[in-house]
Amino acid sequence: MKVPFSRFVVFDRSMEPAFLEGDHVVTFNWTEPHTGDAVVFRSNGKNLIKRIATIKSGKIYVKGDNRKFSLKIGPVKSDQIVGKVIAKY
Amino acid sequence: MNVLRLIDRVFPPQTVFAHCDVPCGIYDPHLAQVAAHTVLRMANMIDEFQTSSAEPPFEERKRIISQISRLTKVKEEHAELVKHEIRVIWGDYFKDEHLKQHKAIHQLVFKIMKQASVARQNVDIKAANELLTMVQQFAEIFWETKGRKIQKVKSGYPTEGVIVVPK
Repeated sequence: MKVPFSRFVVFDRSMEPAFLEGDHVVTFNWTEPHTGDAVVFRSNGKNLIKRIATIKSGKIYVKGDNRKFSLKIGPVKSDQIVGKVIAKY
Repeated sequence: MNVLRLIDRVFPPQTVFAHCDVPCGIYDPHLAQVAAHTVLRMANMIDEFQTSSAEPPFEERKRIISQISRLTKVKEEHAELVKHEIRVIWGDYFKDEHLKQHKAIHQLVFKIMKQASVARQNVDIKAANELLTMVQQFAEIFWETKGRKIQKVKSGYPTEGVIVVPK
């Protein structure tokens, strides 16, 4: 079972203005993420933070808030999701 | 929330990246090199400014101030662009296996960050040249990790010098 809460520090600017570089966030994974939620997920051994654009056929499509730095939208499987961002501190 | 910050001091949180790749896998130090050339070019252009006399007329002063402001702005922006591009490639592309082969990469990136700040804060041609050299070293290492041989081609820019590209 996954740990329900995790803490992260944001690196890079693709989620500005919601999440600035250096922001600390807490994620929670005992709820289903929905469209519009910011989530942390694992990809190629790295943690990434993005916002859910849409969910279709079990595939979660995510994108960055800051389109200047974030252009890609890609599908993520639900088991890659570490958790939904519930707080910034 | 201060409690969480206290916890972070004892048990640091993991890093989460926000960069665009999911994963796009498209990385190239070319833009960093172009930006470093631009920093050098701006430093050269500011350095080459001359006035018609020791006490130039007001209109000439206005023109010079305006032009130097523009050049300085571009220099600052491109020094920052160097830092951004290098930081993204270093943070997102480089993996443990690359670090085993190129143990100096952390130190080189650290030096580029510092050098870009020096080049941004000053009109220093030597510092701008050193920044360009460091960025080229970074580009050489980057292409080596991809198993590509590199070549140094003439940039064709007013700064002369070269650009490191894969063969």
